[in-house]
Amino acid sequence: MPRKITIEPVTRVEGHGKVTIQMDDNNNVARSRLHIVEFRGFERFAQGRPYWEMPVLVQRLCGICPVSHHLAAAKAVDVIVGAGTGEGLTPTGEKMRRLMHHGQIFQSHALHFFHLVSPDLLFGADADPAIRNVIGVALEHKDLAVQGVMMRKFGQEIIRATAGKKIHGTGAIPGGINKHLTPEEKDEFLKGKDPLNIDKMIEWSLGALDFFKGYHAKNAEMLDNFAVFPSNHLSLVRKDGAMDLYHGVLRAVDSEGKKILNDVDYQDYLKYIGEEVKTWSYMKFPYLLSIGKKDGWYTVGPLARLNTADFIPTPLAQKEFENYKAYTKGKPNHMSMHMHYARLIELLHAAEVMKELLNDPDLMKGELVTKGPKAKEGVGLIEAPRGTLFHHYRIDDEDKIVMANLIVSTTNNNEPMNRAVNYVANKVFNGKKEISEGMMNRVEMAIRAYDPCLSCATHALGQMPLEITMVDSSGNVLGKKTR
Amino acid sequence: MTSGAYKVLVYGYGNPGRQDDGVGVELAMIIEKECPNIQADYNYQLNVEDSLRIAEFDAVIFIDASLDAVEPFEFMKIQPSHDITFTTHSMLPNSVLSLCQELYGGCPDAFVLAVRGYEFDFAEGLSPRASRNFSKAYDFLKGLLLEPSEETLSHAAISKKI
Repeated sequence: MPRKITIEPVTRVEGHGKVTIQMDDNNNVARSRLHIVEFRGFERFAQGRPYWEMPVLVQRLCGICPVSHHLAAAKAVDVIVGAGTGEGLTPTGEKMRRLMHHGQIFQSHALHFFHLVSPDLLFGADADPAIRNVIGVALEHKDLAVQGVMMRKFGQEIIRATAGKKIHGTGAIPGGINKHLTPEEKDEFLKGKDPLNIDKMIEWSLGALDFFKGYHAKNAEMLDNFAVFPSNHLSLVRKDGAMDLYHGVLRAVDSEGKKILNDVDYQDYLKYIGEEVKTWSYMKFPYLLSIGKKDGWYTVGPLARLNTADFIPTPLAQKEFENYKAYTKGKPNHMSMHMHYARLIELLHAAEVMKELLNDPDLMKGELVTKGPKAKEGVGLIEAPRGTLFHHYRIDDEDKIVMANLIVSTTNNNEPMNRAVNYVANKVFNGKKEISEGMMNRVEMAIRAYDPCLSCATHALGQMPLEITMVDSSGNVLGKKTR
Repeated sequence: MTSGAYKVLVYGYGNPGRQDDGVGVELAMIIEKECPNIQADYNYQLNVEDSLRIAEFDAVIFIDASLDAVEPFEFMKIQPSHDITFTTHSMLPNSVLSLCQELYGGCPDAFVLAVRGYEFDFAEGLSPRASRNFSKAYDFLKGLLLEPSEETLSHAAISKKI
């Protein structure tokens, strides 16, 4: 009898997502789908608001990555106020924003690896979820848990020093930044008491990479064969091909590494990227127009960024990048679990960039804001922790937003996440009559590799983040699991 | 108002850009302003670093909006637990306590003030009904923080698991 297995998080306002696995009469997976309810209401909400409000307003979108939205919106608004597209800011304005952004990348990547991924690696996919979590890590591997907490805290302090506030930060303003870094703040980040200083952060980032590589040496079979599928990859890169998480041109490569989007100006993104609507999902499916809907989908995020970039412009991360590239003989890496490896290389890169910036005197002096001839439209792109984030605004004569279009990282990864889930479903659900904890967790692991933004900005008490329901073709519930 | 020897942290969390979701943050901010001897903190959500933050205190009062709390609010004592959400992106107060216990060898007495909310759209400011709940919760909290102790907080708490 055909069966349908549903994995459904039940949340209050947004971030609804569920996995539906349709079984055929032979008890094999016929089809799987990952649904995430994208909250598009914000784009309508923005209409009629003054453009200069956007860098603060967009932080309402998400309590998880407000800094990424803050900076992407600021970059779009920079264009509107005539401050250019990322290169027109004053040195202080650009460098302070870069510091804020790399603080965000650092804390987000550290949180993801130490507190979400490490439990899977340390305890295994089949372990009891009561143990396989950050508190289990704290019990069994206290040093790792402490490092995760302190790295997250360091990144948060960088954000506080640059964005000004924990909630609804105001650091990035149209055309620049609203403050310098103080000498006291700089000294604290550079020479603060252990462990909260940048050298310790670099040391721990290297340690995290060693941990992953050590794990890989013993578990290559699993890591190299879990949710592997060919994909196009898209990200910003610096004009010379270097990894640049804050600004650059838009590049995409195909599964063999051939450029299929050749370093174009992202102000023209609508010439290159379309968004397909599918009846079964609220979330759109972006694709490269030149290739078409069927094969033009792409991956964004850490794996994509390491697949598109020619090099990393900081020495320690570059050294690791060379090892990473050598593993696939220079070809793009399509192994979903290597997303974690890529994320750790970026963690190290972010720490190196922060150190470089903290030693730059421009952070503590110089003009903060620049402006020029006004424009009616602006696009801001940034490489958020989870991947490329697009903000696009158009204004009227009264400086009010008449059009807002956002493509968030999780939307960009819609198709690859579906492919990852499908890959795992076919590996672990075929022939099974009920969902085991290990099966459920393997599906989660596939989704988690992309670190999608599911839970989002609101989170009142009483939420039920994840529910798995298994039903047969008649709708009878065969089993249910909640997380 | 004095905190005495019993150090209390009032920690509100939520997104003030989503109407009633910001009730916890608003309460923590007003406590910070009106009760200078009580430490207050606030953020979009709880996360791992908060285990370090709360470790410095004898007691922590988490404040959040709730969809199903009894109107106008509930106040309850909570215990550490391993409940972990699906994503990295937030932690439950019980989990923050548990992490604190494992990492720092103990955790403060902990309470949740769950204020009933109703509207969660993109807008600043509480809905009228949540505003009324906010006022009542503030009066309650202010009274509680006059001379806080484990006994007074525990006495005030309703024993109800989140």
